[in-house]
Amino acid sequence: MSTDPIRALAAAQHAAVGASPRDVIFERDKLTLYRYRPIARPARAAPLLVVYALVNRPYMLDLQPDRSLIRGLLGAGLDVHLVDWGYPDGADRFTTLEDYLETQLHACVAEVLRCARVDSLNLLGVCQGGTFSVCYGALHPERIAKLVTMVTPIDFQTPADLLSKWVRGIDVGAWIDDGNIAGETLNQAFLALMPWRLLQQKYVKLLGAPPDARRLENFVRMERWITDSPDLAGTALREFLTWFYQENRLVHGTLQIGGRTVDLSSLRRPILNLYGARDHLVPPAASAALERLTGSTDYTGHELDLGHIGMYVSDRAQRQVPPLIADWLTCTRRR
Amino acid sequence: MGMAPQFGANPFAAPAGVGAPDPYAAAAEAFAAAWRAALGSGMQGSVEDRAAAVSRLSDFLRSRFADLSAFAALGPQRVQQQRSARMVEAALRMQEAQGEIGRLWLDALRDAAGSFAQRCADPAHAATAPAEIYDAWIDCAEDAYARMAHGEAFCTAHAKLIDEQCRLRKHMKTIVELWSKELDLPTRSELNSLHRTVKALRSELARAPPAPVKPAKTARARNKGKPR
Repeated sequence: MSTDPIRALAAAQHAAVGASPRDVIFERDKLTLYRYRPIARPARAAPLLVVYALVNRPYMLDLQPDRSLIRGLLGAGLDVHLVDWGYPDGADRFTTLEDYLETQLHACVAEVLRCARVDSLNLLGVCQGGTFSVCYGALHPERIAKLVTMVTPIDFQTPADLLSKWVRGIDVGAWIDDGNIAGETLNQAFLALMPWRLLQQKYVKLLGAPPDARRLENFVRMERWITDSPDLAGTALREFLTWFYQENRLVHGTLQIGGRTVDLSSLRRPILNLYGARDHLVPPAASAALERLTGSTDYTGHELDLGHIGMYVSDRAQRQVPPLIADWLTCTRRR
Repeated sequence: MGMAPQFGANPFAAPAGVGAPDPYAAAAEAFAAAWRAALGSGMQGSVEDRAAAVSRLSDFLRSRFADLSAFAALGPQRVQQQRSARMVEAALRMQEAQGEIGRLWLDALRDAAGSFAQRCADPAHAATAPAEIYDAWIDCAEDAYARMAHGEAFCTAHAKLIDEQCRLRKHMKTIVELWSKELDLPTRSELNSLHRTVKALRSELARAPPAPVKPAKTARARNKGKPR
Protein backbone atom coordinates (compact mmCIF):
# COMPACT_ATOMS: atom_id res chain seq x y z
CA MET A 1 0.00 0.00 0.00
CA SER A 2 1.43 3.34 -1.05
CA THR A 3 1.81 6.01 1.60
CA ASP A 4 1.01 8.64 -1.01
CA PRO A 5 -2.77 9.17 -0.79
CA ILE A 6 -3.08 10.09 -4.48
CA ARG A 7 -1.30 6.90 -5.58
CA ALA A 8 -3.27 4.85 -3.09
CA LEU A 9 -6.52 6.31 -4.43
CA ALA A 10 -5.48 5.48 -7.98
CA ALA A 11 -4.71 1.91 -6.90
CA ALA A 12 -8.21 1.61 -5.40
CA GLN A 13 -9.93 2.35 -8.70
CA HIS A 14 -10.25 -1.36 -9.50
CA ALA A 15 -12.77 -1.89 -6.69
CA ALA A 16 -15.76 -3.76 -8.10
CA VAL A 17 -19.39 -3.11 -7.22
CA GLY A 18 -22.19 -5.63 -6.79
CA ALA A 19 -21.56 -8.60 -4.58
CA SER A 20 -24.27 -11.26 -4.41
CA PRO A 21 -24.80 -13.89 -7.12
CA ARG A 22 -28.08 -13.49 -8.98
CA ASP A 23 -29.94 -14.64 -12.08
CA VAL A 24 -31.99 -12.76 -14.63
CA ILE A 25 -35.52 -14.16 -14.53
CA PHE A 26 -37.27 -11.60 -16.71
CA GLU A 27 -36.27 -8.98 -19.27
CA ARG A 28 -38.23 -6.53 -21.36
CA ASP A 29 -36.49 -3.82 -23.34
CA LYS A 30 -34.29 -2.08 -20.72
CA LEU A 31 -36.07 -3.58 -17.72
CA THR A 32 -34.43 -6.51 -15.91
CA LEU A 33 -35.75 -8.55 -13.01
CA TYR A 34 -33.15 -10.38 -10.92
CA ARG A 35 -33.53 -13.16 -8.43
CA TYR A 36 -30.72 -13.52 -5.90
CA ARG A 37 -29.38 -16.94 -5.12
CA PRO A 38 -30.18 -18.10 -1.59
CA ILE A 39 -27.41 -18.23 1.00
CA ALA A 40 -29.44 -19.43 3.98
CA ARG A 41 -32.28 -21.76 4.87
CA PRO A 42 -35.50 -20.31 3.44
CA ALA A 43 -37.55 -18.24 5.85
CA ARG A 44 -41.32 -18.50 6.02
CA ALA A 45 -42.15 -15.38 4.13
CA ALA A 46 -43.59 -14.38 0.78
CA PRO A 47 -41.04 -13.58 -1.94
CA LEU A 48 -39.59 -10.11 -1.61
CA LEU A 49 -39.44 -7.69 -4.56
CA VAL A 50 -37.10 -4.72 -4.12
CA VAL A 51 -37.98 -1.59 -6.09
CA TYR A 52 -35.28 1.05 -6.36
CA ALA A 53 -35.46 4.63 -7.63
CA LEU A 54 -35.06 5.70 -11.24
CA VAL A 55 -32.45 8.29 -10.36
CA ASN A 56 -29.56 6.02 -9.35
CA ARG A 57 -28.46 2.45 -9.91
CA PRO A 58 -29.75 -0.25 -7.57
CA TYR A 59 -26.36 -1.86 -6.92
CA MET A 60 -26.12 0.53 -3.99
CA LEU A 61 -28.19 -2.08 -2.16
CA ASP A 62 -25.51 -4.71 -2.79
CA LEU A 63 -22.38 -2.61 -3.01
CA GLN A 64 -19.89 -5.06 -1.51
CA PRO A 65 -20.16 -8.16 0.72
CA ASP A 66 -19.85 -6.28 4.00
CA ARG A 67 -22.09 -3.40 2.89
CA SER A 68 -25.10 -5.04 1.39
CA LEU A 69 -28.71 -4.70 2.42
CA ILE A 70 -29.55 -7.49 -0.01
CA ARG A 71 -26.97 -9.83 1.44
CA GLY A 72 -28.36 -9.14 4.90
CA LEU A 73 -31.86 -10.05 3.69
CA LEU A 74 -30.56 -13.18 1.95
CA GLY A 75 -28.78 -14.13 5.16
CA ALA A 76 -32.16 -14.07 6.90
CA GLY A 77 -33.45 -16.60 4.37
CA LEU A 78 -35.58 -14.23 2.31
CA ASP A 79 -36.24 -14.90 -1.38
CA VAL A 80 -35.01 -11.58 -2.80
CA HIS A 81 -35.81 -10.15 -6.24
CA LEU A 82 -34.74 -6.79 -7.61
CA VAL A 83 -36.16 -4.52 -10.32
CA ASP A 84 -33.48 -2.85 -12.45
CA TRP A 85 -35.01 -0.10 -14.60
CA GLY A 86 -31.90 0.16 -16.78
CA TYR A 87 -30.52 3.24 -18.51
CA PRO A 88 -33.22 5.12 -20.46
CA ASP A 89 -32.15 6.70 -23.72
CA GLY A 90 -33.71 9.09 -26.19
CA ALA A 91 -36.21 6.47 -27.33
CA ASP A 92 -37.69 6.41 -23.81
CA ARG A 93 -38.46 10.12 -23.62
CA PHE A 94 -42.22 9.54 -23.78
CA THR A 95 -42.27 6.77 -21.18
CA THR A 96 -44.80 7.74 -18.51
CA LEU A 97 -45.21 6.94 -14.84
CA GLU A 98 -48.08 4.72 -15.88
CA ASP A 99 -45.66 2.78 -18.10
CA TYR A 100 -43.24 2.34 -15.21
CA LEU A 101 -45.88 1.31 -12.69
CA GLU A 102 -48.64 -0.40 -14.60
CA THR A 103 -46.55 -2.04 -17.30
CA GLN A 104 -43.00 -2.55 -16.07
CA LEU A 105 -43.43 -2.98 -12.32
CA HIS A 106 -46.68 -4.85 -12.89
CA ALA A 107 -44.88 -7.31 -15.19
CA CYS A 108 -42.14 -7.86 -12.59
CA VAL A 109 -44.70 -8.50 -9.85
CA ALA A 110 -46.55 -10.94 -12.10
CA GLU A 111 -43.32 -12.78 -12.89
CA VAL A 112 -42.33 -13.14 -9.23
CA LEU A 113 -45.81 -14.37 -8.33
CA ARG A 114 -45.75 -16.83 -11.23
CA CYS A 115 -42.32 -18.22 -10.33
CA ALA A 116 -43.14 -18.54 -6.63
CA ARG A 117 -46.70 -19.80 -7.31
CA VAL A 118 -48.21 -17.43 -4.78
CA ASP A 119 -50.92 -14.77 -4.96
CA SER A 120 -49.10 -11.97 -3.19
CA LEU A 121 -45.56 -10.83 -2.45
CA ASN A 122 -43.72 -8.52 -0.09
CA LEU A 123 -42.68 -5.23 -1.65
CA LEU A 124 -39.64 -3.25 -0.47
CA GLY A 125 -39.46 0.22 -2.00
CA VAL A 126 -36.41 2.42 -1.62
CA CYS A 127 -36.47 6.22 -2.00
CA GLN A 128 -38.45 7.04 -5.16
CA GLY A 129 -38.93 3.29 -5.55
CA GLY A 130 -40.78 3.45 -2.22
CA THR A 131 -43.12 6.08 -3.62
CA PHE A 132 -43.72 3.81 -6.60
CA SER A 133 -44.31 0.85 -4.28
CA VAL A 134 -46.84 2.79 -2.23
CA CYS A 135 -48.69 3.79 -5.41
CA TYR A 136 -48.58 0.25 -6.73
CA GLY A 137 -49.77 -1.14 -3.42
CA ALA A 138 -52.72 1.26 -3.42
CA LEU A 139 -53.62 0.32 -7.01
CA HIS A 140 -53.13 -3.44 -6.59
CA PRO A 141 -53.60 -4.26 -2.90
CA GLU A 142 -54.47 -7.89 -3.67
CA ARG A 143 -50.93 -8.51 -4.95
CA ILE A 144 -49.15 -7.17 -1.86
CA ALA A 145 -48.75 -9.12 1.38
CA LYS A 146 -46.59 -6.61 3.27
CA LEU A 147 -45.03 -3.32 2.29
CA VAL A 148 -41.67 -1.99 3.44
CA THR A 149 -40.64 1.55 2.58
CA MET A 150 -37.15 2.99 3.11
CA VAL A 151 -36.31 6.71 2.97
CA THR A 152 -39.46 7.18 0.91
CA PRO A 153 -40.94 10.60 0.18
CA ILE A 154 -44.70 10.74 0.63
CA ASP A 155 -45.31 14.38 1.58
CA PHE A 156 -43.27 16.35 -0.95
CA GLN A 157 -43.76 19.76 0.64
CA THR A 158 -42.38 19.51 4.15
CA PRO A 159 -40.49 22.58 5.48
CA ALA A 160 -37.04 20.95 5.49
CA ASP A 161 -37.31 19.69 1.90
CA LEU A 162 -34.88 21.93 0.00
CA LEU A 163 -35.19 20.03 -3.27
CA SER A 164 -38.92 20.59 -3.15
CA LYS A 165 -38.50 24.33 -2.60
CA TRP A 166 -36.29 24.54 -5.67
CA VAL A 167 -38.52 22.38 -7.86
CA ARG A 168 -41.74 24.16 -6.96
CA GLY A 169 -40.66 27.41 -8.59
CA ILE A 170 -39.47 26.16 -11.95
CA ASP A 171 -41.41 25.70 -15.15
CA VAL A 172 -41.01 21.93 -15.31
CA GLY A 173 -42.62 21.65 -18.73
CA ALA A 174 -40.15 24.09 -20.26
CA TRP A 175 -37.19 22.53 -18.45
CA ILE A 176 -37.86 19.02 -19.66
CA ASP A 177 -39.46 20.01 -22.96
CA ASP A 178 -39.72 16.74 -24.90
CA GLY A 179 -36.34 15.37 -23.92
CA ASN A 180 -34.77 13.29 -21.19
CA ILE A 181 -32.92 14.93 -18.34
CA ALA A 182 -29.29 13.92 -18.00
CA GLY A 183 -28.33 12.02 -14.89
CA GLU A 184 -25.46 14.47 -14.38
CA THR A 185 -27.93 17.34 -14.14
CA LEU A 186 -29.84 15.73 -11.31
CA ASN A 187 -26.60 14.71 -9.68
CA GLN A 188 -25.52 18.34 -9.61
CA ALA A 189 -28.82 19.28 -8.00
CA PHE A 190 -28.31 16.66 -5.28
CA LEU A 191 -24.75 17.85 -4.66
CA ALA A 192 -25.95 21.44 -4.52
CA LEU A 193 -28.05 20.59 -1.46
CA MET A 194 -24.85 20.57 0.65
CA PRO A 195 -22.13 21.85 -1.66
CA TRP A 196 -19.40 22.51 0.91
CA ARG A 197 -19.56 19.06 2.43
CA LEU A 198 -20.24 17.07 -0.74
CA LEU A 199 -17.96 18.86 -3.17
CA GLN A 200 -15.09 19.79 -0.90
CA GLN A 201 -14.91 18.52 2.66
CA LYS A 202 -15.24 14.82 1.87
CA TYR A 203 -12.29 14.95 -0.54
CA VAL A 204 -10.17 16.95 1.88
CA LYS A 205 -10.91 14.42 4.60
CA LEU A 206 -10.18 11.51 2.28
CA LEU A 207 -6.77 12.79 1.29
CA GLY A 208 -5.96 14.09 4.76
CA ALA A 209 -6.35 10.70 6.44
CA PRO A 210 -3.64 8.02 6.27
CA PRO A 211 -4.17 5.89 3.14
CA ASP A 212 -6.01 2.73 3.97
CA ALA A 213 -6.80 0.34 1.10
CA ARG A 214 -10.18 -0.79 2.42
CA ARG A 215 -11.39 2.71 3.19
CA LEU A 216 -10.25 4.00 -0.21
CA GLU A 217 -11.95 1.14 -2.04
CA ASN A 218 -15.17 1.86 -0.17
CA PHE A 219 -14.85 5.49 -1.15
CA VAL A 220 -14.24 4.63 -4.81
CA ARG A 221 -17.29 2.36 -4.89
CA MET A 222 -19.45 5.12 -3.44
CA GLU A 223 -18.09 7.67 -5.88
CA ARG A 224 -18.76 5.35 -8.77
CA TRP A 225 -22.33 4.87 -7.62
CA ILE A 226 -22.91 8.58 -7.04
CA THR A 227 -21.79 9.49 -10.55
CA ASP A 228 -23.45 6.50 -12.23
CA SER A 229 -26.77 8.28 -12.70
CA PRO A 230 -29.03 7.15 -15.53
CA ASP A 231 -30.75 9.78 -17.62
CA LEU A 232 -34.39 10.17 -16.71
CA ALA A 233 -37.21 9.60 -19.16
CA GLY A 234 -38.57 13.09 -19.80
CA THR A 235 -42.28 12.48 -19.60
CA ALA A 236 -42.11 10.36 -16.45
CA LEU A 237 -39.88 12.94 -14.77
CA ARG A 238 -42.19 15.78 -15.76
CA GLU A 239 -45.13 13.88 -14.26
CA PHE A 240 -43.18 13.06 -11.11
CA LEU A 241 -42.00 16.61 -10.50
CA THR A 242 -45.37 18.18 -11.31
CA TRP A 243 -47.69 15.72 -9.64
CA PHE A 244 -45.60 14.87 -6.60
CA TYR A 245 -43.36 17.88 -5.87
CA GLN A 246 -45.39 20.79 -7.21
CA GLU A 247 -48.93 19.56 -6.58
CA ASN A 248 -48.30 17.06 -3.74
CA ARG A 249 -51.06 14.91 -5.17
CA LEU A 250 -50.22 11.84 -3.09
CA VAL A 251 -51.03 13.76 0.08
CA HIS A 252 -54.10 15.46 -1.36
CA GLY A 253 -55.50 12.19 -2.73
CA THR A 254 -55.65 13.57 -6.26
CA LEU A 255 -52.97 11.43 -7.90
CA GLN A 256 -54.14 9.39 -10.85
CA ILE A 257 -52.10 6.72 -12.59
CA GLY A 258 -53.57 5.25 -15.75
CA GLY A 259 -56.89 6.91 -15.03
CA ARG A 260 -57.18 5.35 -11.55
CA THR A 261 -56.94 7.35 -8.34
CA VAL A 262 -54.09 6.39 -6.00
CA ASP A 263 -55.91 6.41 -2.69
CA LEU A 264 -53.50 5.74 0.17
CA SER A 265 -56.38 4.96 2.50
CA SER A 266 -56.92 1.81 0.42
CA LEU A 267 -53.41 0.69 1.41
CA ARG A 268 -54.46 -1.65 4.22
CA ARG A 269 -51.61 -4.15 4.23
CA PRO A 270 -49.04 -4.16 7.05
CA ILE A 271 -46.47 -1.40 6.52
CA LEU A 272 -42.94 -0.99 7.85
CA ASN A 273 -41.64 2.53 7.20
CA LEU A 274 -37.92 3.22 7.77
CA TYR A 275 -36.46 6.70 7.48
CA GLY A 276 -33.36 8.59 8.52
CA ALA A 277 -33.28 11.33 11.13
CA ARG A 278 -30.34 12.92 9.25
CA ASP A 279 -31.66 12.47 5.73
CA HIS A 280 -31.02 15.69 3.75
CA LEU A 281 -32.75 14.40 0.59
CA VAL A 282 -35.93 12.98 2.07
CA PRO A 283 -36.54 14.69 5.42
CA PRO A 284 -38.02 12.44 8.11
CA ALA A 285 -41.34 14.32 8.06
CA ALA A 286 -41.68 13.60 4.32
CA SER A 287 -41.58 9.85 5.01
CA ALA A 288 -43.43 9.83 8.32
CA ALA A 289 -46.48 11.33 6.58
CA LEU A 290 -47.34 7.82 5.41
CA GLU A 291 -48.65 6.97 8.88
CA ARG A 292 -51.49 9.50 8.75
CA LEU A 293 -52.37 8.81 5.11
CA THR A 294 -52.41 5.04 4.95
CA GLY A 295 -55.49 2.97 5.70
CA SER A 296 -53.33 0.26 7.31
CA THR A 297 -54.04 -0.54 10.94
CA ASP A 298 -50.71 -2.36 11.11
CA TYR A 299 -48.22 0.45 10.61
CA THR A 300 -44.72 0.46 12.10
CA GLY A 301 -42.47 3.48 11.67
CA HIS A 302 -38.77 3.55 12.59
CA GLU A 303 -36.69 6.70 12.57
CA LEU A 304 -33.04 5.65 12.51
CA ASP A 305 -30.19 8.00 13.31
CA LEU A 306 -28.84 7.76 9.76
CA GLY A 307 -28.62 9.80 6.58
CA HIS A 308 -30.09 8.97 3.19
CA ILE A 309 -27.09 7.02 1.90
CA GLY A 310 -26.05 5.78 5.32
CA MET A 311 -29.34 3.89 5.44
CA TYR A 312 -27.92 1.39 2.93
CA VAL A 313 -24.17 1.39 3.40
CA SER A 314 -23.15 2.58 6.86
CA ASP A 315 -21.77 0.07 9.35
CA ARG A 316 -24.64 0.81 11.70
CA ALA A 317 -27.19 0.22 8.94
CA GLN A 318 -25.66 -3.21 8.22
CA ARG A 319 -26.27 -4.16 11.84
CA GLN A 320 -29.71 -2.61 12.20
CA VAL A 321 -31.64 -2.49 8.93
CA PRO A 322 -31.59 -6.03 7.44
CA PRO A 323 -32.53 -7.73 10.74
CA LEU A 324 -35.27 -5.16 11.32
CA ILE A 325 -36.81 -5.82 7.90
CA ALA A 326 -36.32 -9.59 8.00
CA ASP A 327 -37.80 -9.92 11.51
CA TRP A 328 -40.80 -7.83 10.54
CA LEU A 329 -41.40 -9.77 7.33
CA THR A 330 -41.08 -13.17 8.95
CA CYS A 331 -43.08 -12.29 12.04
CA THR A 332 -46.38 -14.15 11.83
CA ARG A 333 -48.02 -12.95 15.03
CA ARG A 334 -51.12 -10.81 14.66
CA ARG A 335 -50.29 -7.18 15.03
CA MET B 1 -30.27 58.80 -52.22
CA GLY B 2 -31.51 61.10 -49.56
CA MET B 3 -31.18 60.72 -45.82
CA ALA B 4 -31.16 57.10 -44.62
CA PRO B 5 -34.50 56.15 -43.05
CA GLN B 6 -34.46 55.44 -39.28
CA PHE B 7 -35.46 51.84 -38.43
CA GLY B 8 -35.74 51.94 -34.65
CA ALA B 9 -32.89 52.02 -32.16
CA ASN B 10 -29.42 51.43 -33.53
CA PRO B 11 -27.05 49.68 -31.15
CA PHE B 12 -24.09 51.18 -32.99
CA ALA B 13 -25.32 54.71 -32.49
CA ALA B 14 -23.29 56.95 -30.25
CA PRO B 15 -24.62 57.45 -26.71
CA ALA B 16 -26.99 60.36 -26.28
CA GLY B 17 -25.23 63.61 -25.69
CA VAL B 18 -22.00 62.69 -27.44
CA GLY B 19 -23.09 64.55 -30.55
CA ALA B 20 -20.71 62.78 -32.92
CA PRO B 21 -21.32 63.64 -36.55
CA ASP B 22 -20.70 60.04 -37.74
CA PRO B 23 -22.54 57.51 -35.53
CA TYR B 24 -20.54 54.57 -36.87
CA ALA B 25 -17.17 56.14 -36.20
CA ALA B 26 -18.34 57.12 -32.73
CA ALA B 27 -19.56 53.59 -32.07
CA ALA B 28 -16.25 52.14 -33.24
CA GLU B 29 -14.38 54.53 -30.94
CA ALA B 30 -16.65 53.62 -28.02
CA PHE B 31 -15.98 49.92 -28.62
CA ALA B 32 -12.24 50.47 -28.86
CA ALA B 33 -12.25 52.52 -25.66
CA ALA B 34 -14.20 49.88 -23.77
CA TRP B 35 -11.82 47.13 -24.87
CA ARG B 36 -8.75 49.27 -24.13
CA ALA B 37 -10.07 49.88 -20.63
CA ALA B 38 -10.78 46.18 -20.08
CA LEU B 39 -7.50 44.90 -21.49
CA GLY B 40 -5.34 47.72 -20.23
CA SER B 41 -5.34 48.83 -16.65
CA GLY B 42 -8.01 46.38 -15.48
CA MET B 43 -6.27 43.20 -16.61
CA GLN B 44 -2.99 44.14 -15.04
CA GLY B 45 -4.38 44.77 -11.58
CA SER B 46 -5.65 42.55 -8.80
CA VAL B 47 -8.35 39.89 -9.15
CA GLU B 48 -10.92 42.48 -8.06
CA ASP B 49 -9.65 44.96 -10.68
CA ARG B 50 -9.91 42.34 -13.41
CA ALA B 51 -13.41 41.34 -12.31
CA ALA B 52 -14.45 45.00 -12.33
CA ALA B 53 -12.97 45.48 -15.83
CA VAL B 54 -14.83 42.46 -17.19
CA SER B 55 -18.01 43.67 -15.52
CA ARG B 56 -17.66 47.15 -17.09
CA LEU B 57 -17.07 45.64 -20.53
CA SER B 58 -20.08 43.35 -20.06
CA ASP B 59 -22.27 46.30 -19.02
CA PHE B 60 -21.08 48.26 -22.04
CA LEU B 61 -21.89 45.44 -24.48
CA ARG B 62 -25.26 44.90 -22.85
CA SER B 63 -26.12 48.59 -23.11
CA ARG B 64 -25.28 48.52 -26.81
CA PHE B 65 -27.07 45.32 -27.72
CA ALA B 66 -29.93 45.30 -25.22
CA ASP B 67 -32.43 46.62 -27.71
CA LEU B 68 -31.70 44.35 -30.65
CA SER B 69 -35.40 43.57 -31.09
CA ALA B 70 -35.95 47.16 -32.14
CA PHE B 71 -33.26 46.85 -34.80
CA ALA B 72 -35.27 46.68 -38.03
CA ALA B 73 -35.28 43.29 -39.74
CA LEU B 74 -35.77 43.49 -43.49
CA GLY B 75 -35.14 41.44 -46.57
CA PRO B 76 -34.72 37.72 -47.18
CA GLN B 77 -32.77 37.19 -43.91
CA ARG B 78 -35.42 38.96 -41.85
CA VAL B 79 -36.65 35.82 -40.02
CA GLN B 80 -33.13 34.60 -39.29
CA GLN B 81 -32.16 38.01 -37.96
CA GLN B 82 -35.16 38.13 -35.64
CA ARG B 83 -34.40 34.62 -34.45
CA SER B 84 -30.81 35.55 -33.66
CA ALA B 85 -31.95 38.70 -31.90
CA ARG B 86 -34.28 36.69 -29.68
CA MET B 87 -31.45 34.32 -28.83
CA VAL B 88 -29.17 37.20 -27.85
CA GLU B 89 -31.94 38.65 -25.68
CA ALA B 90 -32.43 35.28 -23.99
CA ALA B 91 -28.68 35.01 -23.37
CA LEU B 92 -28.65 38.46 -21.78
CA ARG B 93 -31.59 37.59 -19.53
CA MET B 94 -29.85 34.40 -18.49
CA GLN B 95 -26.71 36.35 -17.70
CA GLU B 96 -28.75 38.66 -15.48
CA ALA B 97 -30.28 35.70 -13.68
CA GLN B 98 -26.80 34.25 -13.15
CA GLY B 99 -25.70 37.58 -11.76
CA GLU B 100 -28.49 37.51 -9.19
CA ILE B 101 -27.47 34.02 -8.05
CA GLY B 102 -23.89 35.23 -7.83
CA ARG B 103 -24.92 38.17 -5.64
CA LEU B 104 -26.81 35.86 -3.28
CA TRP B 105 -23.81 33.54 -3.10
CA LEU B 106 -21.58 36.48 -2.17
CA ASP B 107 -24.00 37.43 0.60
CA ALA B 108 -23.94 33.86 1.91
CA LEU B 109 -20.14 33.81 1.85
CA ARG B 110 -20.07 37.09 3.76
CA ASP B 111 -22.50 35.63 6.26
CA ALA B 112 -20.33 32.50 6.57
CA ALA B 113 -17.18 34.54 7.08
CA GLY B 114 -18.88 36.55 9.84
CA SER B 115 -20.01 33.39 11.64
CA PHE B 116 -16.57 31.86 11.26
CA ALA B 117 -14.87 34.95 12.72
CA GLN B 118 -17.27 34.92 15.68
CA ARG B 119 -16.67 31.25 16.25
CA CYS B 120 -12.89 31.65 16.13
CA ALA B 121 -13.11 34.49 18.63
CA ASP B 122 -15.20 32.45 21.03
CA PRO B 123 -12.84 30.71 23.52
CA ALA B 124 -15.41 27.95 24.04
CA HIS B 125 -15.09 26.92 20.39
CA ALA B 126 -11.50 27.85 19.73
CA ALA B 127 -9.98 25.29 17.37
CA THR B 128 -6.22 25.08 17.01
CA ALA B 129 -5.56 22.10 14.74
CA PRO B 130 -5.83 22.93 11.01
CA ALA B 131 -8.36 20.13 10.47
CA GLU B 132 -10.58 21.49 13.25
CA ILE B 133 -10.37 25.02 11.89
CA TYR B 134 -11.23 23.74 8.43
CA ASP B 135 -14.21 21.76 9.75
CA ALA B 136 -15.41 24.84 11.63
CA TRP B 137 -15.27 26.84 8.39
CA ILE B 138 -17.24 24.15 6.53
CA ASP B 139 -19.89 24.16 9.27
CA CYS B 140 -20.24 27.94 9.02
CA ALA B 141 -20.27 27.90 5.21
CA GLU B 142 -22.84 25.13 5.02
CA ASP B 143 -25.10 26.80 7.60
CA ALA B 144 -24.96 30.10 5.73
CA TYR B 145 -25.59 28.34 2.45
CA ALA B 146 -28.60 26.51 3.90
CA ARG B 147 -30.07 29.79 5.19
CA MET B 148 -29.70 31.26 1.71
CA ALA B 149 -30.83 28.16 -0.22
CA HIS B 150 -34.02 27.77 1.80
CA GLY B 151 -34.84 31.47 1.40
CA GLU B 152 -37.47 32.91 -0.88
CA ALA B 153 -34.98 35.12 -2.74
CA PHE B 154 -32.70 32.24 -3.70
CA CYS B 155 -35.56 29.92 -4.70
CA THR B 156 -36.99 32.67 -6.92
CA ALA B 157 -33.59 33.48 -8.45
CA HIS B 158 -32.84 29.80 -8.97
CA ALA B 159 -36.17 29.22 -10.71
CA LYS B 160 -35.62 32.30 -12.86
CA LEU B 161 -32.18 31.11 -13.90
CA ILE B 162 -33.51 27.70 -14.95
CA ASP B 163 -36.42 29.27 -16.80
CA GLU B 164 -34.08 31.63 -18.67
CA GLN B 165 -31.74 28.74 -19.52
CA CYS B 166 -34.74 26.89 -20.94
CA ARG B 167 -35.72 29.86 -23.10
CA LEU B 168 -32.19 30.16 -24.45
CA ARG B 169 -32.05 26.44 -25.17
CA LYS B 170 -35.37 26.65 -26.99
CA HIS B 171 -34.06 29.38 -29.30
CA MET B 172 -30.87 27.41 -29.91
CA LYS B 173 -32.86 24.28 -30.71
CA THR B 174 -34.94 26.17 -33.24
CA ILE B 175 -31.80 27.29 -35.05
CA VAL B 176 -30.22 23.81 -34.93
CA GLU B 177 -33.47 22.32 -36.21
CA LEU B 178 -33.43 24.66 -39.21
CA TRP B 179 -29.80 23.85 -39.94
CA SER B 180 -30.59 20.14 -39.73
CA LYS B 181 -33.32 20.58 -42.33
CA GLU B 182 -30.93 22.47 -44.59
CA LEU B 183 -28.40 19.64 -44.35
CA ASP B 184 -31.05 16.92 -44.70
CA LEU B 185 -30.26 15.54 -41.26
CA PRO B 186 -33.00 14.07 -39.07
CA THR B 187 -34.50 16.76 -36.87
CA ARG B 188 -35.57 16.41 -33.25
CA SER B 189 -39.22 16.91 -34.15
CA GLU B 190 -39.04 14.15 -36.76
CA LEU B 191 -37.43 11.78 -34.28
CA ASN B 192 -39.98 12.68 -31.60
CA SER B 193 -42.75 11.91 -34.02
CA LEU B 194 -41.23 8.47 -34.66
CA HIS B 195 -40.75 7.80 -30.93
CA ARG B 196 -44.39 8.67 -30.30
CA THR B 197 -45.49 6.31 -33.06
CA VAL B 198 -43.34 3.46 -31.72
CA LYS B 199 -44.69 4.01 -28.20
CA ALA B 200 -48.29 4.00 -29.42
CA LEU B 201 -47.67 0.79 -31.39
CA ARG B 202 -46.08 -0.87 -28.38
CA SER B 203 -49.05 0.05 -26.18
CA GLU B 204 -51.42 -1.31 -28.81
CA LEU B 205 -49.40 -4.50 -29.03
CA ALA B 206 -49.46 -4.91 -25.25
CA ARG B 207 -53.26 -4.53 -25.21
CA ALA B 208 -53.81 -6.94 -28.09
CA PRO B 209 -54.96 -10.46 -27.16
CA PRO B 210 -52.21 -13.06 -27.49
CA ALA B 211 -52.06 -14.71 -30.89
CA PRO B 212 -53.57 -18.25 -30.89
CA VAL B 213 -50.88 -20.87 -30.67
CA LYS B 214 -50.90 -23.14 -33.71
CA PRO B 215 -50.68 -26.84 -32.84
CA ALA B 216 -47.29 -28.26 -33.72
CA LYS B 217 -47.39 -30.39 -36.83
CA THR B 218 -46.47 -34.02 -36.48
CA ALA B 219 -43.68 -35.45 -38.60
CA ARG B 220 -46.24 -37.35 -40.69
CA ALA B 221 -48.32 -34.23 -41.33
CA ARG B 222 -45.23 -32.26 -42.26
CA ASN B 223 -44.19 -34.89 -44.81
CA LYS B 224 -47.68 -35.33 -46.24
CA GLY B 225 -47.75 -34.72 -49.98
CA LYS B 226 -44.02 -34.30 -50.29
CA PRO B 227 -42.42 -36.32 -53.12
CA ARG B 228 -40.27 -39.13 -51.84
